[in-house]
Amino acid sequence: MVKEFTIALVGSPNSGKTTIFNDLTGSRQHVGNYPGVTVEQKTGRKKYKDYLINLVDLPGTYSLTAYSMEELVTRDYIISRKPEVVINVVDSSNLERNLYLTEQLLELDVPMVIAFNMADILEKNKDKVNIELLSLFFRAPIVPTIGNKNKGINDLLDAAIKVFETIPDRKRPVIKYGEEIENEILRIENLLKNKSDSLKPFNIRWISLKLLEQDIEVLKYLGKTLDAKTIINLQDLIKYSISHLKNVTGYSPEILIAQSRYGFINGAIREAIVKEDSSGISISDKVDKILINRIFGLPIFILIMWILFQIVFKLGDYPVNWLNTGLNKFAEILSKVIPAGLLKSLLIDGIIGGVGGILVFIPKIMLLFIVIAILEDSGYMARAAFIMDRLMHKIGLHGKSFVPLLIGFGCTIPAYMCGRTLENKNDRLITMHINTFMSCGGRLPIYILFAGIFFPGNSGNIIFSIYLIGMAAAVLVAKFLRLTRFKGEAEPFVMELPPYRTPTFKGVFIHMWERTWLYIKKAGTIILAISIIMWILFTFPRIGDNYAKNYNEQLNNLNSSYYAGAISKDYYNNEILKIDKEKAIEKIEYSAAGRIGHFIEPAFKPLGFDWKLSLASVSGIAGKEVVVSTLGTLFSIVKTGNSQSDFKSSMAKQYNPLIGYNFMIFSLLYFPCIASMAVFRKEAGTKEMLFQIGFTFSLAWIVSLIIYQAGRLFI
Amino acid sequence: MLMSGNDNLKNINDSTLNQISDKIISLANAGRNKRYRIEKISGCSSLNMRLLSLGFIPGEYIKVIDQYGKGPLTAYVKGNKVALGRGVAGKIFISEVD
Repeated sequence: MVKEFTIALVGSPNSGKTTIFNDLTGSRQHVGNYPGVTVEQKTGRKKYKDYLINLVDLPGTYSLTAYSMEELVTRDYIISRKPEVVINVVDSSNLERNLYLTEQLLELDVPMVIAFNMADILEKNKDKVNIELLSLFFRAPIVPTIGNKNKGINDLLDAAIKVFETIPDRKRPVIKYGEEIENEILRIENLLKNKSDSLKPFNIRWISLKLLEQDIEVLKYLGKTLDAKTIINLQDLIKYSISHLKNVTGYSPEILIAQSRYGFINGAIREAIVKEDSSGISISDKVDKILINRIFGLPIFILIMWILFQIVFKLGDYPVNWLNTGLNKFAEILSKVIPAGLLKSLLIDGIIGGVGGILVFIPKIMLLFIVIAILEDSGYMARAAFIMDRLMHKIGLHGKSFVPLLIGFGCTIPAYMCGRTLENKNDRLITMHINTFMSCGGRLPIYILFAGIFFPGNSGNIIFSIYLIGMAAAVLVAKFLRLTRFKGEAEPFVMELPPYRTPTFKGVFIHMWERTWLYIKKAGTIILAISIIMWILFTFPRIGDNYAKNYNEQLNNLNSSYYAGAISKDYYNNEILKIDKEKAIEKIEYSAAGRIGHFIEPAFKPLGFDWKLSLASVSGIAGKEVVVSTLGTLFSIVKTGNSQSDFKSSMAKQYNPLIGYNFMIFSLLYFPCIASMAVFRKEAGTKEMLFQIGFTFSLAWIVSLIIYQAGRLFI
Repeated sequence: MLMSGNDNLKNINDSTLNQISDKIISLANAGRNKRYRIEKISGCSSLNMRLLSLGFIPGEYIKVIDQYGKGPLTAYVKGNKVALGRGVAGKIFISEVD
């Protein structure tokens, strides 16, 4: 008979928790979101002996307070879902701080196994640990593990099974907080005693403790659960307790409580561990002397970012080109097999053209995520945030905002997902809202095309200026949002700088794959739908025989004059091409897309855009790459040998550099694409997504209007 | 919400501060490579909780590793290297030891 139960993994950031989770589940993991919040939830399953074990990787937290979303998710999961066993992964080379979390888990009364991770470092430091004794203090079995070498994993499972099979004995509070605090706890407990039924999943002592710590979430919860009279009494009591404690001891209760906790941990460690004095400078410190040096830190950081871009964009070009070639071959073969008609057009122009455009991006996305995973797992990311904090602070943002903004130059979708590392909601939303202005890879083809046509010989500088304008827009909008919609200070900057570690291949791979897969899933499905919609818009209604001019007659005339020898071959070919083009343009103007273009033209007229540019810029909603392909369709639907130059020269003839530059600015400023907006909605909610769409579109329109109208005065 | 977390700031117990105030400075003014003792943390309750879970508790020793001009600083506390912004450092009060 197979028994099923759930193990939740809890641990501080950098404790090696994720590595242990990977060891336990292999790569068969499922990544999702916790309902309502954007903290990733990773689950996996494992068959071990006679057990089917569900594994849940809870977010890394230092504590179980209400400080961050991660902490709340972890706490809520343990309290309300009641996993049968909790494995607390502890970095044994950094016991004191790691056991702070363990102690709080203990207070929550959960069945627990402690994984003493990185046991090899402990050994290397020659520290002697009396594990049995420590295990008595924390009332949980302790299993030494070495996550990155896959050691101790089965022992961990055995211990978890043993805990699962043992009926827990009656628990009592482990830690006495000293007379002053215990008195206040008692008072609150007395007030809540007869309400214990309605506070079921919690124990009263824990709630009382949290109230003394002024835990916002517990207060909110009680506000919803208890009657008004009790709440008022409770408020008075807590106010009194806190000021009483402050008067007597000079400290606020949360500090007193933390002191007692650390006191307990210190006592346990003193009893159970003989520490070899390991003074002296660690390797990490030596590396930090260079990497976060006051003078060299920033240049080194810029160099690392430059290498990142080189890897992603230069190295990434090769596989992208291979994919492109393969895709074209595939389309070619397909076009031979499938008879001409609507189905063929849908498959080749619509689906392969649209979805393929995203597919070919995947190698770059993968490379980007590999480099980021290496930077994260090695411990450098924390340093990067540290180095950037001063600059980011000046625009009212947090050092950590820098990473999503940087990724935004590649693709905005993973950038939005990366915004999750920001704990403060306002910081996160501002970062997401300005991420648009970091020119993503999809916009680059537009710049290359327009700068090449209208500013030949100077295109590099022109493209660079667009990037700069984007960054300036980001700074200004960040300031603006901070003053209007998201008031308040940026999150105070406190961050651990973990020791440097060599990333493992497996860890980096799993990290990269999780994110790439999310990208493929989210972007892929939406892009497929959008491609089909775009194809429909460009194809229907079909013009049939409703052409304004009689092209067949023109063709017949041309044919007869050519065969009669009245015109040259060149002239004949040219005329044929002209007719084909006129016909194609008419066909598009007749289609829904063409009608939309004409319909929105008045709105874009003040910016200098005619119906073609209007349509092209709006088609960028589907993805900025689409702008270029739409223009391609509009200006040279007929593919000839020199269609590329043909298309460029006809654009150069129709528009002036001012319009060209303005078009680039417009494309820069409005939101990246519909797929990114779907991700935005998932991360920040419908309201924020609508704000992003409305705000960036109006900004783009207003800025372009000013540029065009002002520019006209000079031309 | 029941009470404002900022109460802490106003209610720093004056008598304790006065006794030792001649030696107490804020972490933002600390010197490099020196050992200090944490005397007081005075953030709002949620920042305090964060600092406490990272090991910043009154009575604990702290060593400042580097100061970055008017920017952030790095310090060792409880065997961990932690980076702190100016604003946060200004809310931690320390006294010099030896």
